[in-house]
Amino acid sequence: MGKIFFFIEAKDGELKKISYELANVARQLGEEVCGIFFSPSASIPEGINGLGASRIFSFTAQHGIYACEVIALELVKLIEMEKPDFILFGQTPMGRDLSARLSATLGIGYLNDITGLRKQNGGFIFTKPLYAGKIISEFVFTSPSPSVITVRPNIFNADVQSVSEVNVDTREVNFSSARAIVKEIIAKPVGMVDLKEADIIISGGRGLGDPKGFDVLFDFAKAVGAAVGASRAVVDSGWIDHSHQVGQTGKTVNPSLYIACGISGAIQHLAGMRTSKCIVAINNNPTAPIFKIADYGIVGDLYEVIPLLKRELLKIRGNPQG
Amino acid sequence: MNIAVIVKEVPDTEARLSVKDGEIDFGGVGYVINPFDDYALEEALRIKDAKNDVFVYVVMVGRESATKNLLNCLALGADEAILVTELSIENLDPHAIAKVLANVINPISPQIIFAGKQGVDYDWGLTGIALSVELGLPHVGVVKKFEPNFAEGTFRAFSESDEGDLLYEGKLPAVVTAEKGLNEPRYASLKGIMGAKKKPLKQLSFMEIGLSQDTLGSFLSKVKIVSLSEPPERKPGRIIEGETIEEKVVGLVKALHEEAKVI
Repeated sequence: MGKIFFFIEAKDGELKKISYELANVARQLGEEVCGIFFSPSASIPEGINGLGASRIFSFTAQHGIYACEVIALELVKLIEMEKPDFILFGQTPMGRDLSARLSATLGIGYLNDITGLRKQNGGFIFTKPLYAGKIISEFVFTSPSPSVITVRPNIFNADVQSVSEVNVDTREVNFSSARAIVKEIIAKPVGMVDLKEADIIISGGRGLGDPKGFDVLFDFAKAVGAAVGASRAVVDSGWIDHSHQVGQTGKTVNPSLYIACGISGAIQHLAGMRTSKCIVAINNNPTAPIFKIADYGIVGDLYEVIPLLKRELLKIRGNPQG
Repeated sequence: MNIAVIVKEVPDTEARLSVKDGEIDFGGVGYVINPFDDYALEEALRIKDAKNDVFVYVVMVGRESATKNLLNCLALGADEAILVTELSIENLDPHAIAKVLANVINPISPQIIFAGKQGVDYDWGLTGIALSVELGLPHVGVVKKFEPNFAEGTFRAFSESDEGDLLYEGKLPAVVTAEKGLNEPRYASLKGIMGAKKKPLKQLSFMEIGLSQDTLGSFLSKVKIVSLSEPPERKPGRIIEGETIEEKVVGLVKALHEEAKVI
């Protein structure tokens, strides 16, 4: 059985959940599972043994933070030497960038944003949503290995599988030849939860009535550890930055709990959040289409509902101070 | 100075799609320029507005009927549109499209190639990056702010990431793929619409851009669709009733905790 590489991502020295998810997908695809890690500082994140990979190829760099072109060329060398069957990345900003460049440089098969896989006749069939989830497709690779795959976060299990010893092979890459290089990261405000990895999302639409309405959503999000989403209508009106948009020209999300506040439920929005485990709609219009796909609905004024919802949620978690 | 903008057509994002006899039913669905490509074109037009020696090409690999949408690109302010048509386009993956585009772009030698960060159809997010590889140029993706410095032959770009915005510095020429929010795309003016018909809109076949049927064979997709389906319908939910809002919220939280078990 084959060799599978997966790309490890960390944030603030801690492994991201997607890294565990990729390790688990890798184990479904082959027996020998190896990690690839890039960090300018060369520091290996805590708990790397929990990924179940006995070999890790770690790349470090000086003179810059990230240069896709240069890292991709190093990965090409590694892949030509090691000949894995699949190279897995998360469908994350860095994963998308590196995986696409790698597959284009090597001219090898590419499937992105997969949400499922199954075995058939000794090969694998991969699920990929199209049109932001309006259509579900299944793909196979028709080209010889290796192939590149990106995996949607928050779908596959993130179980820890520990190995007693990890062999880290450290290599230095040289960014001096890079023609496009990240010089600085303008950090997000602390405490912001990433939409794509969020367990709870509270989203706002036109029904907020006013851009200031998002203050109420951010207050809720901060208290319960949720991320804030938005409909296209309010992003296009400039009420909130596009990075919050959920839907076909925004992000596709799949939290455990999606709370849609004052969102009517346009098709392109529903496409981006319909795979949420549980959908709650809060809207004062009882005929809003969002109620047709919501698991639970409250007809009422969202400005009355949200503070009460925050209080009750904190109460049930045994944290009644909110 | 030349700037090239890569565009494609996608089904209208407001359209509902269904599967009939194993195929996607596009009956009656209108096609629009991929929304992310609108930001790419607008960014090129803003550079053209600010400088007087800029020529903007719009390039598409697509169906013959795409001329209507390309005419609108000319009405918005692009100087020339090039449409590469090919019957077997359905069998091409983004790698192959990038090879076709590279054959069109190379003779233009643009300083910047703008494209959308992904098509909102198959969401590959691959064509722009593969094109940069074909052309041997650097690429910066998911760009929400772009500052070229033509005198120095450099650029700065801000790109969205999980950690925060990435500040890129790079050298021109480069491929830049646009995120929504890069700018606010304009509407075509009446003058623009009138003038568009006088601008060149070239239709080229694969042969005419120097690609033979043989090379086309090696472009065939490395992945294949084996099934298409509609996502499962969500089970109908229920409206939480109550005398007061407070009662409704208490009922909701109880349901989320005990039935849905998500909190």
